[in-house]
Amino acid sequence: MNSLTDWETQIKRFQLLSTEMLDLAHAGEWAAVAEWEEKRRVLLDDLYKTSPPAEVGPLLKDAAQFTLVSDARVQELAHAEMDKLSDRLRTIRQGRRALNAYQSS
Amino acid sequence: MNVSDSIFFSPDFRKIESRRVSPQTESSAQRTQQTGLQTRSLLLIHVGEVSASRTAPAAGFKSDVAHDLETDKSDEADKTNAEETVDSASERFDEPDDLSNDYEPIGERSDNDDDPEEETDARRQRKGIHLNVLEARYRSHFAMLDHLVGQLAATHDFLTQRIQDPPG
Repeated sequence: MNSLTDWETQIKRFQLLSTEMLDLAHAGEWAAVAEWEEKRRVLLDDLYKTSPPAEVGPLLKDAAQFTLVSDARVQELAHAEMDKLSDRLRTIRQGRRALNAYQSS
Repeated sequence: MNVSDSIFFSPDFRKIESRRVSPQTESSAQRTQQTGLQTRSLLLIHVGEVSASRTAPAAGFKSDVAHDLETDKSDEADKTNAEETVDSASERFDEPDDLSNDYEPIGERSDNDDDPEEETDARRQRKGIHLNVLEARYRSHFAMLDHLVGQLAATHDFLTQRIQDPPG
């Protein structure tokens, strides 16, 4: 990233990825969320590899704070989905136990 | 009583009409003689044909008996034809997988039928396989989410640190 425009473009892309991740999480598209996270991680490493120009400092800070808030919501949704899966797995285990008990009787 | 007498002495045809015993066994010529409603010329034509009509009825003037005899014959023929048709149809269309012509009265099941217990076992096995597939899918999804949450946590820590301690 050489020019100021490059910085701004990449920072906006970073924020857009965070926004889309939250939308995908709401839609239950978890595989896509994971894929977007990989892309965002590469972009973040690139953004913080060197010191940003002073002009884009506040813009990068705002995008980071926006991402922290957005990611907190994504994590909540992910935990809720994991709880749902845990319930389903528990039900399956109960069903298998019932099936085994019926077969052994 | 001849025809001319019946016409002369019994002008009320309704009384004569009631004397008919059985329309199934009377020929149309006999009925005509009893009722006297037909003209003599017509009667003459019928009288001459009554005896012949039992075996070879004239066209257009079949007697009831002849008609009955013919009906009986045709009924028997139809019945025979129908039986043959059913038999041939059942043979012709009785393919190995065709159950349309098969019948099995209640209580006459053979001993070769599938054991219901075996069927139940097979169903349980299918259910078990289905549960295994579901469990594997949920576990995989859970592991992916767990990994994602870990990545998000790492990103959160990274961003928090950068905000608190900006580079440069």
